[in-house]
Amino acid sequence: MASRIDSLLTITSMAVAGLRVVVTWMIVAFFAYMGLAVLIQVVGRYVFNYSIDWAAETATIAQIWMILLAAGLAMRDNLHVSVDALSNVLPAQILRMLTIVIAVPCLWFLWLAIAGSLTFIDIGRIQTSPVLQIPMWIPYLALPIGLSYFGLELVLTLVAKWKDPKGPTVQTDTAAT
Amino acid sequence: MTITFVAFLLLIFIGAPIVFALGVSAALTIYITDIPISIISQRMYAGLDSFTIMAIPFFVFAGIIMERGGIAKRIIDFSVALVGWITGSLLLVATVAGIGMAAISGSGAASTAAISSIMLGEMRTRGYDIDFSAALLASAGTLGPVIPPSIMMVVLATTSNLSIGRAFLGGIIPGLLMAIAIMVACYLYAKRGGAAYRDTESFSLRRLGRTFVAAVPAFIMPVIIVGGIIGGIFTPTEAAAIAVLCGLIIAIFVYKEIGFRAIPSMMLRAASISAAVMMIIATASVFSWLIASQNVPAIIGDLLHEATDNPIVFLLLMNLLLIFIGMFMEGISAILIMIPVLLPIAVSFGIDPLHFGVVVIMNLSIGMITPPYGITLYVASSVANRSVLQVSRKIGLPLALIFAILMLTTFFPGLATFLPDLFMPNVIPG
Repeated sequence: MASRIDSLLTITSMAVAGLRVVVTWMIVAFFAYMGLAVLIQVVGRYVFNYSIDWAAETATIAQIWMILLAAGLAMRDNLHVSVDALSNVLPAQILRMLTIVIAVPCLWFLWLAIAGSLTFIDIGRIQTSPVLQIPMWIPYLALPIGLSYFGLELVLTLVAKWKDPKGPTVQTDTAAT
Repeated sequence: MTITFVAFLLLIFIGAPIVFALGVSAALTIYITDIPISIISQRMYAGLDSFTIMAIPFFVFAGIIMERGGIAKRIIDFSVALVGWITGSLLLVATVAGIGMAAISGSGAASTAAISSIMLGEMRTRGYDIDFSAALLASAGTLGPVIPPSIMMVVLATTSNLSIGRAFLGGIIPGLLMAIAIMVACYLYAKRGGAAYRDTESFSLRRLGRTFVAAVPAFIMPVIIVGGIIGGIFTPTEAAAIAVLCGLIIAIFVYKEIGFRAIPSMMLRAASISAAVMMIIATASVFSWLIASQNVPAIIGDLLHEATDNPIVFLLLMNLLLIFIGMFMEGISAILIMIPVLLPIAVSFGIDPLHFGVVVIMNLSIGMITPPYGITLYVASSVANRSVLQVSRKIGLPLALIFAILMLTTFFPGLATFLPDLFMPNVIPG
């Protein structure tokens, strides 16, 4: 029995590791595309005297995908800021309960946002983008996919916090402020 | 609407990430009223669907390149040559380097981390008071959001429909005044201090020249970024992408501190940090949509107008409120939550929105060095290996002097509006 659970855990953690690799490379690809598209736009305007509308449009779509996928990455890196005044004063057992109390509404919110995005994608089947006529379900699809991965990383963080309630909460080496 | 705010405050208090505190409290309100839930995904999408806010991931990326690419080191070398001969030299060097880093990076915490890790060791060796040194390094970090380019200002300008170029220009004079205030704090402290602070290096013109040449590529960047935006050559997003390109060229080919292989890992770091900020933008746009649809700014505005009609009194109240918020909350989240409510009220009091914006940024920068939650205070303390409490005992002097500059800017709007009106008059917001 124990070995079966163990092998199940191994398979799960391998699947998670594989998924993370895929997500990581998608983020790098979208980010690199954003940078190139914006630079192409500048070069187009000043060197060729030609306005490239599609660059801004596709870069914005890449940004939406990049950010929604990186939301889960930021969860993994512990970068989502919170006010952690209580974690210094409360005992570990209560903190453990508190992580559940926090996680339930967070997951509920992600669930609502994912469910809502499905209706949104339906509308996207008949919409197209202004310049390149890209079907709008393509950028909209980033919502359910990115938010699902966000939810997965949230659950994994929850498991880690359950094991070590006083573990690292904020990482502040390079914040944006 | 009461439910929204109560749920929000409760979630923040028990330690929920701010991105979720905003989302959950808005979703709760949408769920119990008859608004369709698809509005949540729709508003989140709208929050991210913007070419302008793309400046954020690029500025964050550029900041990481400066940190790892040896740019901070050159700026510190130049600062040593420039002010290293004055009493309390290392403290002054830290401040001057803080100005330099603020002018090329969009983030105060990143520049505090970079400067602290290079300078604190030397400060300790020379026998400087380590708590005051850390407090001072944290204070120099407050220049980051005020002196352009600034990620906080990009967020402020986009949420309030101001021009990013004008907001950047508006921060220059108050930012430099803050830097002078911090240097006065260094000097006052070093004068009273022991022999350690009088141990200086003699001034050498040759050394100044040599370190300047080494730092030139770094100093070209603010010229390109701010100059390009002001001159209407680039949009802020384009300027930020160009900053990334320049930073990579300088770090890889000129300083040779990093190679191409380092790019993907820096990108992931930048993506992760940007996502933490921009997901808050996404959920905050659900929240602020609710606030606007319920007319909250008008209701609070009416209450305030009953109490006073004096814009100065209003601004002083705002300073109190924002410093209080800044004590507990990180700056960008505070802007996203508070500005949609406060800016329309400020305008109804006849306050210039740009002046108000600069005052808000200064307040939230001060929040970076006020305990219990001050991000640069936290960063400098952890590099110094001291507790936030120990370091914050020494924060009083620089904090008081920076606060004096905030008061000056509150009473004299011209400090914020002079440069924007000079260089970018009649610019259409956006």
